[in-house]
Formats: sequence, C-alpha cells, structure tokens
Amino acid sequence: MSRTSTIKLVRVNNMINSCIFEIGDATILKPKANVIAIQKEGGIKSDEGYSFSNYPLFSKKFAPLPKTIIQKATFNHNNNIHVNAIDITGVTAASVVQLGNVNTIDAESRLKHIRILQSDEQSDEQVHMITKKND
Amino acid sequence: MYFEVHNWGLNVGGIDITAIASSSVFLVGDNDCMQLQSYYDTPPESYIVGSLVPLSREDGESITNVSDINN
Repeated sequence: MSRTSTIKLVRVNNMINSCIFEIGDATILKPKANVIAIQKEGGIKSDEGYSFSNYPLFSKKFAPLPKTIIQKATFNHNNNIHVNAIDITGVTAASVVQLGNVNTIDAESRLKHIRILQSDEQSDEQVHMITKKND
Repeated sequence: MYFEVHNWGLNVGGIDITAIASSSVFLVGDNDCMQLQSYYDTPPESYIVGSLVPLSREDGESITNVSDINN
C-alpha cells in the first residue's frame, strides 16, 4: 500500500523554465530545460544570433547515469504523511515539486552563461574594422 | 545490500524554501528512482565576487620565508 500525502496549505510564488508542480501520483516525470543566460553590460536589445545550435553544450551527449538496483523492502505502518504548510518562493530550470508518489524522475538542465562587457565589445568592433580594411 | 525501511507516522509543521533550481526535486511522498543532471558552462568572471582591491599585510608583517607561516 502506498502512502498518502496530506498537505494543508501550499504557496508557490514563481515557476519558470519547464518545471513541474504535481498534486497526486505519477509514473514518470521528465523535465528538461535548455537555457542561454546572457548578461550584457548596458542591457540587451534582442536575442538574435544566440542559437542553441551554436553551443556544443546543448548537443553534447553525455554518458547516462548508471542505474543501481537496490534490494529493498518497505513497511508502511502508518499510511499518512502530514505537512501543515509549505512555502516556496521559486522553482526553475527542470525542477519538480510534487505532493504524492512517483516512480521515476529523470531531470536534465543545461545552462550556458554568457557575459558581455563593454570593453570586450569595443575591442571586437576594432577587430571588425581592421578586417574590413584588409578586405 | 538489503535495505529495509519502516515508515512510522510522519508529521511536519512547516516548510519554507527559497528556491528549487536546476534539476532539483522537492517531494512529499514516495519514490523509486531519481536521476537529476545539470550541466553548466559559466565564464570565470562570474565567480569573481567581492573586493577587487588586493589585500596586503602592513609593513613589517610581510612573510619572507615559507617557514614563517608555520610559526
């Protein structure tokens, strides 16, 4: 017999980037998130030119985690899990919040951080000008 | 390995979480298998936190010999 979760109150403020909030039981949860986070000095105007295909991090296939099988036996003497109150400020990037039972969770998130400083941009422009002159 | 679990009563008063991020799980219930993967590619600039002013010892406090550190 599986256990039942009884929660009196849940408050979640913010959920973004392919996360799951599940009330009840599930068999498989598979959240996946690809994120390119750009921090540019002076602000960013558009996301043009930033494609997932430009970065190997998003296409790379990593070796799967080994599945370990453990011989176990569970005895539920009390079939209830009781929680009075849950307060969550933020859930992001392929994360899961669940009230209930689940067989398998298979989550994956890939995050590429890019920092663009104003000094780097200027030097980039200078390089462009030099190459244009050579053309 | 043989793993035996006895679940007696479970009562929790309150849970307060700031953030659940990057393939993390918060579960109130039972589960068999979890595989959580997270890949990061972050430039070194983002790790530099705090003062950019190099900190140095005052005059006469400088270490001239490595063995001084141990004293």
